Amino acid sequence: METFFIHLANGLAIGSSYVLIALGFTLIFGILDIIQLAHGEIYMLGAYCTYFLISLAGVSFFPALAISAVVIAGVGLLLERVLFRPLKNVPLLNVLLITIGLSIFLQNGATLLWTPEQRTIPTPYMTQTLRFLGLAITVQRLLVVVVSVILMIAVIFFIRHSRIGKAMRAVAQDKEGAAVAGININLIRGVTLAVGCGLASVAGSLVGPIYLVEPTMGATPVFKAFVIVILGGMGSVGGSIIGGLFLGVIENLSAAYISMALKDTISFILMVAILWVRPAGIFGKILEE
Amino acid sequence: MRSIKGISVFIIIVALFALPIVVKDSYFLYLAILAGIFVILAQSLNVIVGYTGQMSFCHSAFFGVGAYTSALLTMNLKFSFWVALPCAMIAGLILGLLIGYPSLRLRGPYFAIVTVGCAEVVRSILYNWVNLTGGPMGLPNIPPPDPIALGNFITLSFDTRQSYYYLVLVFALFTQLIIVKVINSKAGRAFVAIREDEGFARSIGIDIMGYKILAFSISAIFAAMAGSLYAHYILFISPVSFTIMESINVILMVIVGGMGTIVGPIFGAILLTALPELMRVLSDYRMVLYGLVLMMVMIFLPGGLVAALKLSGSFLSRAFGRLPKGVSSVGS
Amino acid sequence: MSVLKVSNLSKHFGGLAAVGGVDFTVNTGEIVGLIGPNGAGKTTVFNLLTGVYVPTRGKITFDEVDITGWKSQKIVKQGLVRTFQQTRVLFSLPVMENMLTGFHCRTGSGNWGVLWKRDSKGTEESWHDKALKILTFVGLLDFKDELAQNIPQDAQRRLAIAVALATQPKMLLLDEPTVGMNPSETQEMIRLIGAIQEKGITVLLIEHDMRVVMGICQRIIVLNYGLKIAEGSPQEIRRNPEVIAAYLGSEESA
Repeated sequence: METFFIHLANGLAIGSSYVLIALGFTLIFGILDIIQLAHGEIYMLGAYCTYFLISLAGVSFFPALAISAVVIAGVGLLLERVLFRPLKNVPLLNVLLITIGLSIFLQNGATLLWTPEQRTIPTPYMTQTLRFLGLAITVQRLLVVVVSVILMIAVIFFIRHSRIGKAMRAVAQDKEGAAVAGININLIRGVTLAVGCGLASVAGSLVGPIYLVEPTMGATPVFKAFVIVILGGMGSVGGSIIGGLFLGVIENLSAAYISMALKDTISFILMVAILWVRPAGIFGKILEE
Repeated sequence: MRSIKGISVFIIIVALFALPIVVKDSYFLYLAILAGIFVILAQSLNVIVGYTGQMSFCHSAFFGVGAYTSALLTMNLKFSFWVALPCAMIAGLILGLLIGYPSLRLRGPYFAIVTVGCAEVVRSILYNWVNLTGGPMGLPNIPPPDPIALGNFITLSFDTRQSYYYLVLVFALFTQLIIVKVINSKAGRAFVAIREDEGFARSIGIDIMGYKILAFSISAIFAAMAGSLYAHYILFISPVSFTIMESINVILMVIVGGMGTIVGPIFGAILLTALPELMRVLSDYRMVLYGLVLMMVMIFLPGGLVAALKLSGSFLSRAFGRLPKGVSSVGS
Repeated sequence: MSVLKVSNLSKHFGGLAAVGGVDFTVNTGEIVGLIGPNGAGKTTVFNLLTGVYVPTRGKITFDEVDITGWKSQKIVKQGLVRTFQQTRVLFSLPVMENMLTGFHCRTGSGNWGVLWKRDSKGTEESWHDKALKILTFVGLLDFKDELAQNIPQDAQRRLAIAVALATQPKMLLLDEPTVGMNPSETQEMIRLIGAIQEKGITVLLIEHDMRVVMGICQRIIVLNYGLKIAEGSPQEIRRNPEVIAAYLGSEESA
């Protein structure tokens, strides 16, 4: 029984990181209409940034996490300005291929620069454990959940109540209408990409100490983000949260009780299975018009 | 113009048949065979991606299923290659229908991502079902195609590079012929309409799902055939050759060559098979360049080589026909 | 003789009723106008009739056949086809290709013939001729080899109608065919619609231009907020106080 809760806890931890990635992904899609397949590489860059800050500059964990988030958010702004804005009117499919190209470029560029060597982000929290309800949980894992939850709440608050957040929702619903109403679309696009990339960076930094940091670490998470968004609904913040946690838990439980090999494949199988049964996705928004 | 086209095609075919006699270099033949297999992959992908406008990443799954089916049938059940190959094509068809039915209902990008998932599931099965597929160790010692006897005096055997070249050449030409016929048929017209404006096509009575599934199935069948040809040439297969990167490789061939054109994929396949070999020196940078090339082509010249030739105003451009919607603008 | 009969037709999106319980009939050979202020549900009705939306409630009978809930392609085969408010054709293809695509649902060469038959002399030539006839009828013969994106806008509008005619319909739903047209183009369109009626095709027409509506429609149906508020001859509608109020009301809030 105890092991069940440990798996559950692990699932919630990894699931929280999925939520952060999926949130950014779904915001970028909802507001810029872009399926950012290089989002996984943003996550990877965040992890590396934190790693280098800690191991080369001696910064401690939380400041490194925060600095990386800001740096990667800046990368996001740059991406929007330099790549996505000029491509505003290009067909969706072409943009998809462009982000794939970006993903390949970044992944392999990272491999060239930093070698395929797998690293771990050194933090003291990996060796500290907390006794909770008779279970020993690594503090780092707890941190993942706690920081993620704080960010999720912050994002929800930001979108619901801030002026920019409301503007973001307006743009997601009706771009032309929002522009007519005087909203600075380019600003919103930039903010969205900055926030999305910042969230991914935090996810990478949080998970870096637990799992391995290497150039290809973003490939499967971005796909899982997509599955989560299919499960939870494109553009739905709540859906991403529930979907992400759900997926993390299912992955860990099936890996523990059915087969290790299933860990990564379960998300794909889930997605295909759901689409067989409910072709419109769980929230019915992805059929042909 | 038509007869010039016909004559040039004839000359090219004759040249292709004469190739092994003129060029004796064994490595060159190896590349040529590989290129031929990729031409089949690229042309078949072109049907669903270039003509019907549905981006699919599971081509590697069909390629892999074709390879493994053919290899296993000849190795375990002692089938003749000439029976195993059509069986592989049927396996490809079945997988195509299995994946196509639930996913082709979805809007473009969603369908694309689902195909990524399907490709990964298939790869995972190939990797993990060790009893059947040998898992990560793969299948070694695949038998080459058994000889065919024509009458009492002539036996065609396929254990030399030269003979395999002719085998692949014949299959590639066959594939080209079939696909050209399909593109120029009523179905081809429906494919293009779906690509250009699906809602409009639906409003004038075209069965969208039916034609999407048809295009997808055709691409699956020929990809599986290529898989069989691949398996019985390299004589060893493992899941590492059938990943999503492989799919992206073929997509790149179609795009760089010119998607939605009859000859584009041929250019792309030949170029992308030959280039990495020429770029051996840069092997570390190869993948980085891949990503860059994909981005640059999609941003500046989505119509690929064919579009480049057309833009250069060469007289060949008229031979290449029309470019599809998303690719006819250079940049934006 | 009714060719189209709609009873209690409703479409709800979430809690919102875009169309709420509409009844009307269109008789064979008529030109009927469907009018109403913006947002009244007119295009939604078209979408319901052509299978783009599935009705929440109600029944649609076309040519004595219950087509409620049918898929678009099946409805087109039955003989009911529509055009779109924003002109939709295959822009990067030549006009002739557009026409041949329009014939697609009528060239029944069976399941496998579909993969071969296109350039076979027997069938294709007659379709080519049929296409020329329709292009002449709508006045686009000169453009037959031009790319659809290169012809003038009103010609594109006529092309959309020509492609719809290629599906050999019994009834044609036209969504604002004269929007954005100057007076002479509008006159041409009026003439064309009249000629379509003469061919025996029934027309249901969404329009905002009252001169067009009053000019060619035998009967007019008026919608507002998803409900039918009036039905009758042009004279009756012109004098109907509720119709006037609906339009004035929408003008005030505009």
